[in-house]
Amino acid sequence: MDYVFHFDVIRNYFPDFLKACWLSIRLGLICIIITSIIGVVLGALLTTNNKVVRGVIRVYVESFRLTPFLVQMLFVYFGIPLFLGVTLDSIKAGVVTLGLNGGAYAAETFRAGFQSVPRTQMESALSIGLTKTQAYTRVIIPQGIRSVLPYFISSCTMILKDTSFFSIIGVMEATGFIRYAASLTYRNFELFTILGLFYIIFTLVIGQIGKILENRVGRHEQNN
Amino acid sequence: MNVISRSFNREITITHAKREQEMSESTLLLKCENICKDYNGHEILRNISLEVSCGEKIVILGPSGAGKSTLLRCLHLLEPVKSGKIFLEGELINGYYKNESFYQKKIKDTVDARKKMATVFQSFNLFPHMTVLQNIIEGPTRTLRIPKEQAVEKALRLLEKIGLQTKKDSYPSQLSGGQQQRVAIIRAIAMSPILMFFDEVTSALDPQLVKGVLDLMRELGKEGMTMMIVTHELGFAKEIADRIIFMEDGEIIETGDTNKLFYDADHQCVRDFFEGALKGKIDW
Repeated sequence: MDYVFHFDVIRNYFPDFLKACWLSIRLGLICIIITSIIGVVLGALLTTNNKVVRGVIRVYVESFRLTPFLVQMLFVYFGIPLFLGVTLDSIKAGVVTLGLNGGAYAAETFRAGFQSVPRTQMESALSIGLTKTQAYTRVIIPQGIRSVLPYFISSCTMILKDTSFFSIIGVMEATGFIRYAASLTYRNFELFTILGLFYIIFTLVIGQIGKILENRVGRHEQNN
Repeated sequence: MNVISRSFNREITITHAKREQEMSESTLLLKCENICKDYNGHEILRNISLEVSCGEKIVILGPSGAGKSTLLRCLHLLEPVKSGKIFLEGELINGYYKNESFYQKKIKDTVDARKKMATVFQSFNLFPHMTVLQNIIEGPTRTLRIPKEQAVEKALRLLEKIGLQTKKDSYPSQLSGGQQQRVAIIRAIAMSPILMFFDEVTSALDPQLVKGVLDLMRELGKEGMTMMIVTHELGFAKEIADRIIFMEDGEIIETGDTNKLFYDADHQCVRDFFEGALKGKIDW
């Protein structure tokens, strides 16, 4: 193999690459926030007795779980503007799709968590006069989240990595920027190695933050 | 049309309730008429009617699966009944009949009625993610809207009574079963209920922890709390009960004062129950 490595090619692009990385980080975090909110709310609604509500959520969850993410993103970016007559810029389209996609998976995760809380906890909450909504927000949801937190955090790292798909619809986040740089320099190997390293560090850091969080909220959960 | 007839129905039930109140003694606290309850067609409660006066201590006895716990849960509105009426202080509190919507009697009314009563459960059911103190003030601050400082002060006073004030910042998982159950009783008392249900509160406890819990209940009884107790501690039942209700297969078989039921019951199955219990034959 007579390929000569030129890692110094990144030097010219490094400041811009960092900016692109920062965009990736922000996009990832926004998507995680959206995912968490959708997941907790829909997960809680999935445990209620209302069949209509459950059915509607089920359709949403399954349609996102049974189609590829790339297809969803292209559908939202190209299809929704035609249908609704609004223009979606690529960042918004990406965030909406990834948030909804993550939310669909998270809803299932949190549903499992909320259902794992013993039924007696609900009775106990009602018995001290809490309304059903209060019982959910004060008793069921806090306990349910704790029980599925490790799984949810690992699915958050998936969301972070999936921000790389945004480059397909032209967002200049880390992957998009590296693809652009590679098309100028043809230094694919070097540039994508650097990109890979960025994602490793990014997900490791988030994973660590998740672990700390997990330990903090799970401190007193050794019972039963 | 529908709406009019519904509200008319409600008027009728309300006047009915008022009349009931006037007719009965003023001390009548809880009354239920013909309560039926089933799970998937399987009958749990059949035509249960009973009355509870202020300050009365009623013990419900009967073999496992007789519907004792379900009765308490229905009376506290934690589970809907199939038919029947429950009156608390002369007011109809359950609006859930076979043909009527649950929402007819507004959810708010249900919650308001629940607040006046309190249940202590067999499995403690403290909230594991809250400290002892948070567990106790949760109800008063969230539902009775008592200012936090006041609720904390009351909680600490109650905790001191059971000697657990040092555990106020512990989590339930760090307490023994007996301590958890006593905290659960305190949590119920903190709601200042007019009626308390005890659902086999000592069944999940080690024998040496039972006494502390029973002592607390005795004390409550002395203070005049109205209590309905499901228990398998016959000695305790005999000591505390003003009246005993014997249930089997979802029906009230016999009701009467302690000595009558223990030694001179009218029904053979009741006599068998106590005889077996004294010999230790019946599986608790």
